[in-house]
Amino acid sequence: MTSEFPTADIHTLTGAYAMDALSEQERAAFERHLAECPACAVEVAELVETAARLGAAASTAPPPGLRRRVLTEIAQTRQLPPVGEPDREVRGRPAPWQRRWPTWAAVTAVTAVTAAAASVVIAVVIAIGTARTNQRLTTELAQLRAANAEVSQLLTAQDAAVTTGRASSGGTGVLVVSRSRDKVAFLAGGLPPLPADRTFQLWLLAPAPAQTRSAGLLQPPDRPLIAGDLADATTVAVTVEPAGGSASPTMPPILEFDLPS
Amino acid sequence: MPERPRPVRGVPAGGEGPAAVSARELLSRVARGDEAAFEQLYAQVAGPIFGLVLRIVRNPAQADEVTQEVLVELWRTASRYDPQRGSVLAWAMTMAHRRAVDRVRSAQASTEREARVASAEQARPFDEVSEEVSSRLEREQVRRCLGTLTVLQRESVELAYYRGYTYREVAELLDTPLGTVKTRLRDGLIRLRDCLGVTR
Repeated sequence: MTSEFPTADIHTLTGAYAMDALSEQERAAFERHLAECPACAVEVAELVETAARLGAAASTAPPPGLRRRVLTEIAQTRQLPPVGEPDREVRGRPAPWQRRWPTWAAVTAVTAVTAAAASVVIAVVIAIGTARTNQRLTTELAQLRAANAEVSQLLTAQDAAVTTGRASSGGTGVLVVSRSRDKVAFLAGGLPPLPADRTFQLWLLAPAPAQTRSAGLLQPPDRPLIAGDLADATTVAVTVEPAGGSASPTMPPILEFDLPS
Repeated sequence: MPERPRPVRGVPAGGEGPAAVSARELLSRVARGDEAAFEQLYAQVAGPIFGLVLRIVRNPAQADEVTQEVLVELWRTASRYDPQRGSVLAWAMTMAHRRAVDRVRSAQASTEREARVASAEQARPFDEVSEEVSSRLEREQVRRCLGTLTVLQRESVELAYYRGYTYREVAELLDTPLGTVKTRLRDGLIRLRDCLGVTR
């Protein structure tokens, strides 16, 4: 774990970061680095855990009045609602109410994500448009519109289930699945940028490895991806693969969803 | 270091015994507004939080205040705890450490700072720890593992973690180049991690 890194200098701050020994500015800079460096994130998590053990070793009986005061205060303190998802949804299993049909809130959320993804793609397309032919632009926009229309259609399926998951790399993914339409749609937001030689790849995983197949590359990551012919697939997963994609997943998933049977 | 993306599903973050597993269960009940579960969680984490905060802020009345803030914050933000990011203990201690450090860094006038710098040289942190049955073994292990650090690593780790100094301040206190302190803090923690068997 102590081998050299291209970003060796900032990387050596993992220890100081885990112990809050950075100034505000340094902390912010390091956190930006952390978002792009999965290896650092693992090391930081381990060092934070280690620091916590140091902290716990300093354990001291708290003053006697503290417990009563804390309990009184929490009784009058409103708790924050969850931001992401409860554990089971992170694991990709829709909550029972989601299994039946998407609620309006979910539909709205997904529509918003779709719209956001669409506008991002359109912006990107426009930005690089000058270097491309009109023909190509038109095709991309048409593909995008088609994808968005497909997502919207999928959402109207009687058995459409919408699940949100947080990726271990940061960012979130939304999966819409309908067995009756035999389709899934995947939308991601806020995934960290990858080096040029890496790409996010979506998979339909089946218990038999031979039936596991790629559902496409997330290029760009916020473009909606639709896959049909679910067959024996039980899980939809996202991995980071070498540019161009792999024939089968070579890395552990950063995000997984169990498909309803 | 090989690149090891953390899977969303799989083995829970390590460094937890049976007590911590139940802390996780307690916290998920707390997130649903269960005050009884919070009382149980309090019994597990209040001592470690208070001990660490006291170590950093030094003043018992202030430590009491900061500890109360941290515990109420645990209640308030219980639903935001993400097991994938680490144990409940690590979550609580990170919050406690940050609050305590914020308190000393903002409150401190420069003169007060100098006084603290002077007193930092005395007192070995582990001699001040009051005896408490529940975590004696854990404490023994941490003490033993701190003993595996070089004197310089140990000194740096203790000043940064138990005193709440930034690594720049540590460098100044020890009259050592910044880069050396950064490395000592990281290498020291890595050695502790390996000695304590912390894994993910």
